[in-house]
Amino acid sequence: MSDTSDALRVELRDPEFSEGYAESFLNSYVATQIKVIREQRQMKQSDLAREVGTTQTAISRIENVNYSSWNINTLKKLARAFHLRLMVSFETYGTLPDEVGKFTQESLQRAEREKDPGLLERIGPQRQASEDAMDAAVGVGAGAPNPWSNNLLRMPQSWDQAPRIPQPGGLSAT
Amino acid sequence: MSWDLYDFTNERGESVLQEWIERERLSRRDIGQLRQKLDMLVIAGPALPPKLLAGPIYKHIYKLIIHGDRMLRPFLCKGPFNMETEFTLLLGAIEADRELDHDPREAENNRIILLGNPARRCNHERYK
Repeated sequence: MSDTSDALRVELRDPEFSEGYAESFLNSYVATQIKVIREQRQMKQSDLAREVGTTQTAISRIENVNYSSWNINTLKKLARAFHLRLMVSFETYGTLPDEVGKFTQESLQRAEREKDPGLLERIGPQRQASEDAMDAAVGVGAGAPNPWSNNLLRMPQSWDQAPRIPQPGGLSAT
Repeated sequence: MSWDLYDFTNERGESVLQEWIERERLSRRDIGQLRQKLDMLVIAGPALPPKLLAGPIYKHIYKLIIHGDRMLRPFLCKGPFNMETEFTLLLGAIEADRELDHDPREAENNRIILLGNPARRCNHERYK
């Protein structure tokens, strides 16, 4: 694989070659990631079509590495249907070989918002200590596996427990 | 798991695809697009990227689709010796006005020649 990456790194110095390669990779990436995430959500093409207000044929068309006529609005609708955000970013050619090398099903999958590890509540050391003490009091951890013991991330129980987000002009009264 | 890629060779032992690229004077942009599809085939295989391979269009023959300055349609087959781990590029083709300049039967013929003489292919090397 590193042979491929090294050779590609040299080839990408050619402006025309690099444009052709990168544009083709973009089309392949978009088509494949849509298919991978749809399957991760256990959705059929017709399910996804219903979510974004289009036809199954249109989804089939976009799930094709040779298709290049998608637009940002369509991709935003797909992102919403997948409970994900869409990111559009300009990148250097030098980052391309690594992206090509790690093009796998796993690397293309994304957790939906509700299961997003990045949105789990972070528990501080003080609260962790008190929860450990509580676990010890009820006998968890004394020989029995404690499913929480190494878990420093938890979803809030409800949105009432979620931290307030300061609004311009200070926190609003509730 | 990555896939192994081979090129069918002419009687002088040269890759017919490299020869085709030079004969057709393909642009560097088109070679870049072709390279990307081949890298994807080797790295991800035929199942992950949707519709990477079109076909079979005739017997064991598939084609790659490249929408470049010219519509490149190289023909290839799975195997033919190990169907689970390898592909062999058999013939270069270009589509114009919905017509291919080569018949997929020519590619199938190359495949049959290869089955009779396994030396008629080489490890795929990146095209110049």
